[in-house]
This record gives sequence, structure tokens and C-alpha cells, in this order.
Amino acid sequence: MEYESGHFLISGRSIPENSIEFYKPLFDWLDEYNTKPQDKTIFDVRLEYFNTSSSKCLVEVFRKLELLKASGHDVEVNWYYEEDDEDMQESGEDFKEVIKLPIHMHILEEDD
Amino acid sequence: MDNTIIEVHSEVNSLYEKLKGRNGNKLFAFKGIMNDDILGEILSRVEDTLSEHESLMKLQRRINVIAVEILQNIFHHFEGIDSKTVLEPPSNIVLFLLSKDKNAYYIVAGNYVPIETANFLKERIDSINELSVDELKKRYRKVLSNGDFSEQGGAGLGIIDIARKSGQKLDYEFSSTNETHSFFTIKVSVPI
Repeated sequence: MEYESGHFLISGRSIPENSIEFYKPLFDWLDEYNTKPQDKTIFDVRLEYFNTSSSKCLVEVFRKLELLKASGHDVEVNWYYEEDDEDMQESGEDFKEVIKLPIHMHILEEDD
Repeated sequence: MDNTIIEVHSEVNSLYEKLKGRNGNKLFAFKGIMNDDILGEILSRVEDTLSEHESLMKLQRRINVIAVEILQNIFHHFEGIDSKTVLEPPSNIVLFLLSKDKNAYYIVAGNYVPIETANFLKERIDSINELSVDELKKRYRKVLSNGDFSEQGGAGLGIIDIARKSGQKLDYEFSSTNETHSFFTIKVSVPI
């Protein structure tokens, strides 16, 4: 998370059993950020896989970004997945369908 | 050890022995008491086993995440069920098997659930097994957008996610049922 650039990233695996507790620092950070946001906010998702408990929290993160966008700020989401990983591609498309934000799908290159 | 414990262990033991020989070659098998540490340990053993036996990363990830959902959602916190129904020892015993044949990987997992949970799980899985691939996708997205994930009778994401990732009907069984509890076993196939 970088306040100055308005750029933040989530990567790796997200499989905590108690996701709400795990994500709370991010929620708090975002609430704080939303009080004084940058003109443009970019959220990169480079997850390998995640449990359904985490998908609830991702929705929560996206909802906070939706608020930011609704208040006239520029918000962009980049969703990265490996070329043959239909599960992560599908997950990105699920969020694209239910979240009112521009979610760009990107295929990860070998050296990424 | 009182009689209940001996009885529980002998029932699970015979089921474990019976299931162990099924569904191709056994890759990993566990039977014992369940808690947070053991849950983590099972997941890490499954991960190690898969990285040893499966070269396709996407398949490794798919099976790992199904194992996570089964253990966290269905067994540990009983999706949609009040936490007071979580079992006390001696019934807090689980079995977990990962195996493989030429067509698929199989995860078989089981534990004791209270009768109300058993009925709830049965209805939930039956209703999800009736859905087509497209209907499953729609159901998942609906629950995701509602944010209403855990209410009992709501659609709960865990089982839908398992069904979507497996692409197969979910197979389950209840055995050793008495007035209060039933041993619930679920089998998920992941085609290669």
C-alpha cells in the first residue's frame, strides 16, 4: 500500500479462516485513505488463489473503492492471472460482473 | 477412555479403512482430532503432496483451494450454522483422504455433525447438485453481490465454489446416525 502513489497491491494466497480479522488492517487503511484520496487510485490483484471467506473481504474492499469512484475519483482495478488458470480468470470475471468498477483483466507473463 | 470415545473411534476407524482402499492410489490420509493447528497441517501436507505428484500448477491450486473450502467451511465452522453447534470432543474427529487415478483426483473428507447440520448440508448439496454450470455461476455471483454469505438458508459460497471448481456433482453420505449426530462424508472429484 502506498499512499503517495495511490497504488496498492494484494498478492499471493489468501486462505485465512478468519478473513475479516485478517483483512481488517486493509479495511481501516482504506477508510483512512478514502478521507483524503489521491486523484487516481489503482488496485492490483495478483492472487494465486483465495478461499470464499476472502472473496467476501475482496467484495468489501471493492465496495469501498466504489464509494471513492462514486464521489468523482478515478479508480482502476487490475486483475492478473496466469494464462491457463481458468479458475482465477473466472474469479476475475465474477467480480467484474458484480462490482461497479473498471476491472481490467491481464494475463501474467512468465517473468512477472 | 469412556465408552463413547471408544465407540466413536471404532466407527471412524472402520469407515477410514474402508475408504482408504477406494478411488485409485492413496496420496495422503489423515484420521484424528481436528483443531486449527491440525487443519493447517493437513493443508500444508496436501500442498506438498500435490507439488510432488502434479506438474500442472492450475490443477494444484484448484485442489488446494477445494481442500481449504472443505476443511474450513464445511467441517470447521459449518457454513451457515451457529457456532454453538460445533462439536465437543470426543466427536471432534475427522478423516481426510487425497487420492488419484488416471481420470481424477479425489478428496474424501468426513466428520460428525449434529442432526440439524446434517439435514442442512443435505438440502444445500442436493440443491447445488441440481444446478447446471451456468446456473452455478449465476448463483455464485448473486451471493457474492448480496454480501449475504453466512445466513442459514442463504446460498453460502463454499459449497458452490467447490461444485464449480470440481465441475462434478458432489457425492456425500451419512452414516452411523443416532438421535443427535451423524457421520457426514463428502467426496469431491477433480478431473485431470
